[in-house]
Amino acid sequence: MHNQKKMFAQWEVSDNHGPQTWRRMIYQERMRRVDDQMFTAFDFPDCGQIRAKRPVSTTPLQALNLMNSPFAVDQSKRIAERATKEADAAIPEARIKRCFQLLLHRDPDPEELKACVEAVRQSGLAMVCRSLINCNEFAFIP
Amino acid sequence: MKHAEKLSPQGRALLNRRSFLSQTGLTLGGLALTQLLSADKLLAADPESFSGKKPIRPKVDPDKPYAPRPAHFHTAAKQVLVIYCPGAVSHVDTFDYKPDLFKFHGKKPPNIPAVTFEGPSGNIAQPFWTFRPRGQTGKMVSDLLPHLAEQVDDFCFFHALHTQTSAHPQGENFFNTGFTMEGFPSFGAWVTYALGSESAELPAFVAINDPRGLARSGKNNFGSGFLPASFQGTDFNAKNPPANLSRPRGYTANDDRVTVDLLSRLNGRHLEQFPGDADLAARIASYELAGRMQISVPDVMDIGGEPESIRTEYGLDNGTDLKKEYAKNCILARRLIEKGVRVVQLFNGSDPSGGNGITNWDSHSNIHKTHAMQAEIMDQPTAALIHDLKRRGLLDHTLVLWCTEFGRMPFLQANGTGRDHNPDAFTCFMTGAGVRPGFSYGESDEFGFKAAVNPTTIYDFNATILHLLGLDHERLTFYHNGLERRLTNVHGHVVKDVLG
Repeated sequence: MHNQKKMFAQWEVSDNHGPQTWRRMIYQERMRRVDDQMFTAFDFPDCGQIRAKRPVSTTPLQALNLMNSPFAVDQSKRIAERATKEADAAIPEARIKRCFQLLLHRDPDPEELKACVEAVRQSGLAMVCRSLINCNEFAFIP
Repeated sequence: MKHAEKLSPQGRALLNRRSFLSQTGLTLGGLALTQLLSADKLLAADPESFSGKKPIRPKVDPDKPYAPRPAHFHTAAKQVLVIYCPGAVSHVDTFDYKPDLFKFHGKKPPNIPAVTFEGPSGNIAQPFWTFRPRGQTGKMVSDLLPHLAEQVDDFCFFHALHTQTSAHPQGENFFNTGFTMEGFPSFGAWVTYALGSESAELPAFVAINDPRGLARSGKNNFGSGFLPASFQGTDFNAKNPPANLSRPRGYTANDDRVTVDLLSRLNGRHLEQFPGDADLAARIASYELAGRMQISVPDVMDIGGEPESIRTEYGLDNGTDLKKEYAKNCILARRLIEKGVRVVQLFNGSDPSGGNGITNWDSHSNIHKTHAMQAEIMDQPTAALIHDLKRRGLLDHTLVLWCTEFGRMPFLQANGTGRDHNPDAFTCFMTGAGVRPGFSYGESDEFGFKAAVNPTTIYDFNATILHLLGLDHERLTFYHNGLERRLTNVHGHVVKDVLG
């Protein structure tokens, strides 16, 4: 809501979304009724209810979120940048392999690598990261 | 006994009572025990809801959670359109005719409380608009809603509704989810959980928010609560598509194609390792539906092709900008019903700003001005929508509800210009498939102050709606936190009188 309201009742709304607040969430203060743009589609329980175990459901809203949300787009870009920085610049496919390692903990197989090289040629490395973020292998624990 | 840290993970797991029971249950010893216990009828039987009836669990295919599912019994209504007016519409100024208000105008009878929700009360005020007999039935309806008034012969009114709260968020929660607290599944979520959808291209449950924004209780009005998130409402309106529907800025159509191709390859390879896995298949299916929605939703939102006659009928060519925007939302609602969307929830009003009826029906002051403003927005387009559904034969299998969270007082507030919240009497109506037309159920007292004849709870109202959709409100349950949960909690009776 930071781009919609300056105040919410007596609270001043500030936009603190960014690397300084990206942490693994163990305990978060939530405001009632304020919808979480990311988690609501992913069975995030209402904060007014006790929820020992969340349901797990699959909805097209999740797909749209991971494909098109500003967060997903931004993360795709950042991971691609990180992979580029960490990979050996001398080896052409190293960046792609680094993306796979970061996101899927494995190397691409030869066919995947070939497809990714072509994808990078057409749309850039961030697009490969976007696909990796959306794939089932990333979303599910085996 | 070994110290816990020295045990293997499996050993430690056995120390945990729950996993011990679940694991030994799988051994032969466990099987024998199960048999013995069941023979002695000591095992819990299939769970029952509070009513003692056995739950009917919808068979939800994870691959296709929105596939149509059969109702409990056959009824005419297959889809439902809810027109929800946040803020509390004054029943005594619209549909609930109380001649005694003219008689006692300006007076303060002894049974009027000194203080109500917002403060000290004023005197009785006669309706701010003239009531006239309408249609063949001669139902008295005020001039505030002249277009809706023309269709009263088709409507079924509830005049003795009463609720448990005087506050808007709680009132909205109660009406839309059956509980005053947040976090419970909305009525639309229950219905799509039970019935799926008739549309494979669009969301099963759509919430069309008012042009001015969401209602007071926000997404809770169309949330899924503890039901799986698949059944939450997707909110958009004629102007704003659903969140994240559009391609991100800076991406091209080819970028999307590249992504989808690579994604298919990755998922295909992954699926080879886990053949037949329903969760993986379901997720792939959800992406396919998302892809279809990227075409079907802009398509249904595009009302530019509607003929001139429709635009005129819905009021797109006259009146305030807000009315025109709401009219577009009404046309969108009709188009969604045409496409088979199971539940459409159309809002007329948003979160109040300042609480004086500017953004919804909450007319604490200047009711003659603010209710008129709201009615100008709501009346013609809503009437056109209902009539359009009827004309197209859609009303034969669509249930339409017009509702609000509570009513308003027959007396003014201390400011002398507005009416305060009235939780003890208010009016809603239904029309369409299975509903008895030209009928009124229940009555409020002579002032419209309290429900008097056939007081009707929200539970009763919701039980009746579910019944009209072919669902037994006592058997549509979901096990959560130790209870077989229901939209109607542990209450509610179907109002048989209103069944057509």
